[in-house]
Amino acid sequence: MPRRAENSFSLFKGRVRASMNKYNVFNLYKKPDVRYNGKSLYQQKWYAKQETRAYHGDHLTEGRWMQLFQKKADSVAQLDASLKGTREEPTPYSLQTYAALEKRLEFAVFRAMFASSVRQAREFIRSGHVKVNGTVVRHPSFPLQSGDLFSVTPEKVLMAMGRAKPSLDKAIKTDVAQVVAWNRFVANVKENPHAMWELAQAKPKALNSAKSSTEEDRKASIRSFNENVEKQMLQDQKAVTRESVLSSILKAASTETEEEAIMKALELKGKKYASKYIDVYTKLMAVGHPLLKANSIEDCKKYISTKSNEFENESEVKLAASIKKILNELVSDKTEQIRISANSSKLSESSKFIPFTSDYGKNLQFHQKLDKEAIAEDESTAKVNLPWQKGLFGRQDPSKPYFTPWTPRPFIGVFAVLPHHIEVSFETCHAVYLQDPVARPGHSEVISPLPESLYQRAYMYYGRKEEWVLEVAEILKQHYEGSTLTVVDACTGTGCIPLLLEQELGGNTQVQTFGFDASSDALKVALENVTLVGRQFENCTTTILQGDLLDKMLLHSINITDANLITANPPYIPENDYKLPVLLNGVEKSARMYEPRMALVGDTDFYSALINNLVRPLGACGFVFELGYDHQADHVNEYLQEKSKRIWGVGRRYDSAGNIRCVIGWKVGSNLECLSKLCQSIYDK
Amino acid sequence: MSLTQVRYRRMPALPLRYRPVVPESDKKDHSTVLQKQMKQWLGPRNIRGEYYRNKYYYPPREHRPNYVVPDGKSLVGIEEENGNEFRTSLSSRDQLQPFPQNPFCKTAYIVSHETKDAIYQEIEAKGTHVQETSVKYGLKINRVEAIAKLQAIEKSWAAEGKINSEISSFAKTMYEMFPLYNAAHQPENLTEIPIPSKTLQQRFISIAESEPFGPIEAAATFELEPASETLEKLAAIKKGKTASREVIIGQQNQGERTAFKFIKAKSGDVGFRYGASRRDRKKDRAVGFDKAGKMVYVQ
Repeated sequence: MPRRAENSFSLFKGRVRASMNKYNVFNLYKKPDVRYNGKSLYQQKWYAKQETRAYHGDHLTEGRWMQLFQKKADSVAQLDASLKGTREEPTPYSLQTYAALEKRLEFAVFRAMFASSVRQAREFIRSGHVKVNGTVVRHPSFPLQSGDLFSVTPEKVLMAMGRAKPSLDKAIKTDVAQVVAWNRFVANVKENPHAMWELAQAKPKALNSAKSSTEEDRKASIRSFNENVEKQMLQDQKAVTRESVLSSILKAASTETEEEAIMKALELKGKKYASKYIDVYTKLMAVGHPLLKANSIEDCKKYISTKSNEFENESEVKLAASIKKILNELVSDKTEQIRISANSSKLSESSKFIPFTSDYGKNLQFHQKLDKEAIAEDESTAKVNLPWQKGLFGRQDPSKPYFTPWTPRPFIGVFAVLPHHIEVSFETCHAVYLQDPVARPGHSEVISPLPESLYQRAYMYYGRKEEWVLEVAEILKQHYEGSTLTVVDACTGTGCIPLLLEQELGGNTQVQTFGFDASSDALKVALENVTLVGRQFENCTTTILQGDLLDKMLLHSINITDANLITANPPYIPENDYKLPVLLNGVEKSARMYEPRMALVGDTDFYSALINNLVRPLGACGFVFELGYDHQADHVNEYLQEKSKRIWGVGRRYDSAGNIRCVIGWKVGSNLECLSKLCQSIYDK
Repeated sequence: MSLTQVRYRRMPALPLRYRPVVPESDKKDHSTVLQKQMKQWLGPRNIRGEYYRNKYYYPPREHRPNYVVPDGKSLVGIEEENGNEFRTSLSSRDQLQPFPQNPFCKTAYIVSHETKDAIYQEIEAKGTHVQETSVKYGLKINRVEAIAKLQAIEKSWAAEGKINSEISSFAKTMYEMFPLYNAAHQPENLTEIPIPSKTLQQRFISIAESEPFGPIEAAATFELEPASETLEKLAAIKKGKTASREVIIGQQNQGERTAFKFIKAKSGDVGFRYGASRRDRKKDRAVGFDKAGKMVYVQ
């Protein structure tokens, strides 16, 4: 069962989830920088765990996640960089903390952007809408492997990534409001086109940018403007004929006095034309031609189309020819002039805005009012035909479960990250899982909105188990060749080390584990743990005993005769450090408050006692001691080499945080020599 | 006894410098301060219910992603008067980084339709080796294979008329949201190999001061092959391997109902060892899935 999503998008908590929700977008936006000052190390780890788990699989219970957690971080080396010898960026290993989740089908579906949240992806899988390699898989936890092909029903993807479909009531309300607004706009444009055009120009470019801000759109509108200009030019040129020019000259002359007409011609057409105009007029005036009275275009046309043999006398033929010649010149001049002015009013490709033209808004039409009741009764009666919308708002096809025509969901771009480990085909809603996400220098394939420092602490939180015990168990499982193994754990405390070893090693070899401690309180806890674990594992053989490590007669009191491996987590914090604050390498306040001082304070004398009272008398072949300081490891090495040279090999091991954690020893040539594989550095013999 | 202890005062999740001044609203509005802040951040809605002034409302286009930059200016056209800017030093920030706090997370580049088609044609029609195509386009081998596989599906869907206008408008929106892959500018690193586990640990060796120590010596210390050799192997074209197993088919005599087939295997790799403990009655049994997608217990 998934965990319930309670108040997931609380603005107060401000956690960022794996979802494209609107509130989540705001939470991401206002996410404060992480602050660790004033928090103890444990508080930091707890906080980091809370924050990161909120994003990575908040639907998984903590127990389930703990089982999935893997300590190993997948990463790649870039060979060319290492050969070039250039300085590499650091590899964010800690971001791989949650990489184990990314191979689950539910996460892959969300990462491929086929669902808007991981929880929605789970629902799609549960209801059989997801196929892996052509087979319906109904398990959200299905682990994908490299090369797996998965697909989601396109209908579901469109629903997940599209805008929510409005209810019929909502759609009607919206459309009524839209129609009112549109009609108001059309009325305003018809009344005052220039003001409305300027208003439209003043609108910020980035505003309302669902459709109209791309480069191509701009170019297209420039192209259509230029086409209009060209069309207008051809029309104008066609209108310029000999008769129209003649008629305009005569009309101008008849209405005004001669001087006025000349002045006007000068102003309008320039000197070159004015002389030709006057020429035509004076020539007709000289003979007192009837055209001066009847100057309509038809009369002019009749005069011009009269053929030379149809005139009454020779002088008239001459006059007509000279006038026609001038008119021809005038017409060609005028068409040329129209062409030039049209070309100059054409827009260049790079121009930013389109100038106002008088036909702005000429084609706009009022929209009919909607009949609310009729539409509510029968949706198909709705006749909405707005320039940006055909059909009812969001319900063009009411049979579809999403907003039609498909419109992207709000804020889709914020959480849309194309994954590196999945190849997606949006056309078919198919995707191929390429590989498990890895970390490389300067980049992590695990998609995450949180800073690296949180992942470092979360990793520390989940990797908190006695990690060396697990590694010892792993090594022994692989390489130990003896049939039986006896382990003695000194200063066992709660008995977790022998129990963990028993649990991990049980099965392959006969394992006998002992643990002893000086404190009777610790023994009570240890015995309680043994009974608890014994209930789960039938053949749990861990024995808990009482004994003081510093006692020289220890073996008599605990009554063990031989052992192969000695483990111990003795008190190793020096007296001075016990009192120092955490920042100066001291002990955490929580540890000081809740752990007995006896279990913490100690130094090299415990390691001497371990060798003298346990390792040597029992004839053990190997040991693993936990410690906190380099000098303690040096001490163990020197102490062993002093008395038994070249028999023992000693090495050191560091934990994932880079601090020294263990000193490991083995008898050379014994079957526990495999312990040397755990060491990161080995002492010279 | 159960006690709930609150050790430190709980503070709302807000950056210290982000304190937008929310105008006072009427008494009937019972929303909280954070809700009011969010409303202000979202900006006004138009008739269609779109937060048309919000920078992040509409999907980014022309392959230019528009990821969150928390600069206190979420609205277009309205210059904030409140002086909310709380993160402006983002000049070095990459356009590919989706989340302001995690510079290690980057969006991938989307491969253009033309390149995808070219890859498909080369592999399917010309039969070019995947590795050659991979080098040609600067894409990793598994990505090239995936592209070819998905292109084949796309082609068959297009032929069957399965890609309707709704899906193609979805695909177009998604395609335009991500930066476009350009083999010349952002080739994938084809020399990546999983980190050899041997190099995860430190090694200390003592060498003479005059002794040369380079990558080859380092590889020898780790008992690995030198990187140059690995690179050469990566570059060499691999022929597909077929796993062969020795099989003996028993003779089936007349009347026998069973034909025996013996497959060579190593004990320990198959089956269970007698006496070894198994986890089949445990609470947390290992789980796997069969070919039909059904969950099965593996052990």
